[in-house]
Formats: sequence, structure tokens, C-alpha cells
Amino acid sequence: MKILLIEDNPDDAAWVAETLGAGQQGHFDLEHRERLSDGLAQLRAAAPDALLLDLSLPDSHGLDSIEKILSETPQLPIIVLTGLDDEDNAVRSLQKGAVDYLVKGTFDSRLLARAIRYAVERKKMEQDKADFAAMIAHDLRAPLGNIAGAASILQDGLAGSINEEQKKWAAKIQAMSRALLSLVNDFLDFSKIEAGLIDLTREEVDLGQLIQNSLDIFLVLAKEKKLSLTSRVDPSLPKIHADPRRLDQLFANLLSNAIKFTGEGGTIEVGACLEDGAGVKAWVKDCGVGIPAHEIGSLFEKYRQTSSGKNSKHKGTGLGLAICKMVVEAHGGRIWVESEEGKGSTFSFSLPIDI
Amino acid sequence: MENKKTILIVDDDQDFVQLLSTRLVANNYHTLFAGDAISAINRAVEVNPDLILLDIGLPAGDGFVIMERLKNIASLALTPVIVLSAHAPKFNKERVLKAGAKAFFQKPPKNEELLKAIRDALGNSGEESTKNNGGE
Repeated sequence: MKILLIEDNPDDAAWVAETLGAGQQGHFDLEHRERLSDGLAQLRAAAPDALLLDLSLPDSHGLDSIEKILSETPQLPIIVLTGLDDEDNAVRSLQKGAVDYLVKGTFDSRLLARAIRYAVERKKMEQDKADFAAMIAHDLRAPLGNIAGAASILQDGLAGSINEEQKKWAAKIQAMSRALLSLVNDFLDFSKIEAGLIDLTREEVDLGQLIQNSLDIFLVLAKEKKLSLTSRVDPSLPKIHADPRRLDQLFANLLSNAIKFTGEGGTIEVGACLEDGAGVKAWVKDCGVGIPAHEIGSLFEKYRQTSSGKNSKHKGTGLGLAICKMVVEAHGGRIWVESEEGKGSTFSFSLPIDI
Repeated sequence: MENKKTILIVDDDQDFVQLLSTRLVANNYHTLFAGDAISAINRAVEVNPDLILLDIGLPAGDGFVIMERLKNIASLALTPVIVLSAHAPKFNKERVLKAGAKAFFQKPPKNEELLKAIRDALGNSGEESTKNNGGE
């Protein structure tokens, strides 16, 4: 089994080499790097079966290292090896995607070998599960799309004339199956993105036009709740180099959240302007329930639902904002939220004009 | 009624074929089907359709194989192809267009957009859609 160790302390590195060597009859083939940058270069050159990672490196610190590594090799099992016996830090490491957290000096050769083997197995099972979920989601799409299609055939009178009341119900079937389809799409998309498969197809995008199209789509939903949807786009906004379908998805997620959490009669504003010459900033501002301060920090994490979201009639997957974050970051931008409970929230993101 | 254009739908999802066909017939097209790659080629050679709506994931050879074959059959080399496919990470729009398709739609397509792409691909030659092409 090929193991990469990224550790800057020579004593610790020697100890790991010795520990892995002892009594393992050459089961482990250890490569050692002292800096994260060299470690990443080694990962690209020859993918190891597992990575042992120290969290205090000369060129990267703490949990950032995990993120940087996983953004390049999402399927690599990472075991954190640290001198810091801190349970909170351990949990955060796992949340960032590490598979295990071992404190130096608390284990022997046999335990380390076992930890590595289990880490590899756990990561593999995780991957199998993600693949399976993607397959299921994929198989759900076709029949759902067909239900929406069949409803639209009724609605458009292609199967004989129908009265207004029947038309209304056919429209409902169509809207509901499309809503379900978009949930399934979120799942499918998320498992794809998480597996590192996000593929941006960049072209010139007129952000103002794209925002207008998104607004047009959500006008019906907004009208149902008597919400006013306004746009404030700087007319001198330059075109940007981005994936329009991903941006559509981004605005769709933010707008449907805004509509979901804003009470009847409220207003929602979507806008975009130039930011520091090199980028554009866009936002979706609502005057809804807002987000409690303690929930803001974890808002963009997967499966995260705000307390108000959990109680909402229209429960989501908890993936929408995680997808938004991945889409924005894949474009080289960032996303953030400002919110006050009871007053509303503003979700903003910045994108570089040209990448 | 005489100048109806013929569209060959190649897809192994029978429900989808029926829906699509109903929509196309309502818009004054004549439709035919094939459910796998081999009968798709046979059907195409036999009827020489004006346009082919093609799925990618098919039994007996995928949509790319079919597009490749069509290019080598003189009577079909110029027949416009529009690809309709489910979400699949294995390929993307670029690859489909590079293979020679006129347009790519992720299933389920929006009716109006698909009908427009069909009209465009047929060169707008006198094909008038009826009013009933609405919906999403």
C-alpha cells in the first residue's frame, strides 16, 4: 500500500517511518514530504492509497490543508496525524473530509496500520454510496420528466379539450413533478460536484439578461405569494466569462430560497454591479425571516437546513446553498450572506469578469 | 397535409417516445421510432427522415456510434440530428455538438425550445407550428 506522509518535523517523520515499518513486513511503501506544496506535487505525480497529514506545515496551516488536498484529489483518504489532542479540532477535520484523526504518541505500529486500512475501506464505501446515489437519482429523472411531459400534454389540450378547472390541475401536476425533478437534479448534481466532476462550460454571459430571465421564471411563484420582485442591475455591467447554466442554477437556488422565506406582500431585490474593476458582484435580497447569527457560519455546508427551513412547508434537500458555494468557487469567486433575524437576508457573490 | 416533415425518434424510453410523438404530431410532423442503435440505422436508411431526434444511452451502440454511422451513409450524411439525453457526466454538450448534432437538450426538454430547434434545423422551410406548442 502506498502511503504519503506530509510532515515537517523530522523526528515525527522518522517515528512514523519506523512505526509503519515495524512488524508490517513491507506492507507499506512510504513517501515523505515536508511541505504541502511538495506533497501536492507528489500526489499529482503518483496517487497514494492514503495520506498521513500533519496539520502544522510551513506553507499551510490547520484545516486549510485538508481542503486544498481534497479539492485536487477528492477521493483520497486523509488521516490527520497531529500533536494536538483536541476533540473539537478532530471533529472539524472530519467535517472537512478527513477520515481519521490520530494524536501522535497515542498509538503503536499495529493501531496505525489498522487505522490506515480502515480509512481506505471507509473512503471506498463512501464513494460506492455516492455512486449508488447518483445512479438512483439518474433513474428517477426519466419517469419524473415523463410525468411533467404527460401533464403538459393534457394541459395544452393535445389529448382532447379540457376545461379550465382540469387545466389548473394538469398545471399543478406539471409544476409539482418539475419541483421534484429539480430536487433530484440537486442530488445528482451535488454528488457529481462533490466527486470533483464539476464541468464549467464558459462563454460570454450578459449577467443583466441572465438575471432578467431568472426573474421571469420566478414571477409566477412570487405572484402567488404577492411578493414584488425587482431588479437593480448596473446598465454598464460588462459581460463576464462564466457558465450560464450554472449561474441560472445559482440564481434559481437563491431566488427560490428568498421566495420561500419571505412572507406575503414582501419584496425581493436582485441586483448586480461592478466590483473593484476586476469583478462583478450580484445579490439576492429578501425581507424574510432572516437567519439566526449562530446558524450563519454553517449555512453553506451540505445537508444544512436553517431552523426555519426545517419547519417550512416546502422542505428542501439542504443542498441548494452548498451547490451555490461550489458553483461560485469553481468560477473563482466567493459567496457570503448578511442577515438579521426578522428583517431579512442578502446573499451576495462575487465573480471575476474574465478567468 | 402533403408536405409534412418526417422525424425519426430514437429512444429506448417508450413513455418518452409517446410524449414526444404526441407533441410533434400536434405540430404537424410525421413521426417514426426506433428503440436501439441497429433499428435506428435501418429505419433511417429505409425512410430517409428529414430530421432525427437521438438519445445517447441506447441498447446496441450509443448515440455517438449512430451519428458516426450516419455520416458514412450518403443519403443520411446531411440529415440534421438533435440530441436529447438525460444528465450524464460521461459526456457534455460540446462533445455532442462536435459529433455533428445541431442541438443538445437535456431531458426533459422544454417544448417550445425543442420545437424551435427542430424548425431551425429543418431550415424553417414552410413548417408552421400550430398554436398548441405552449407549456414548458
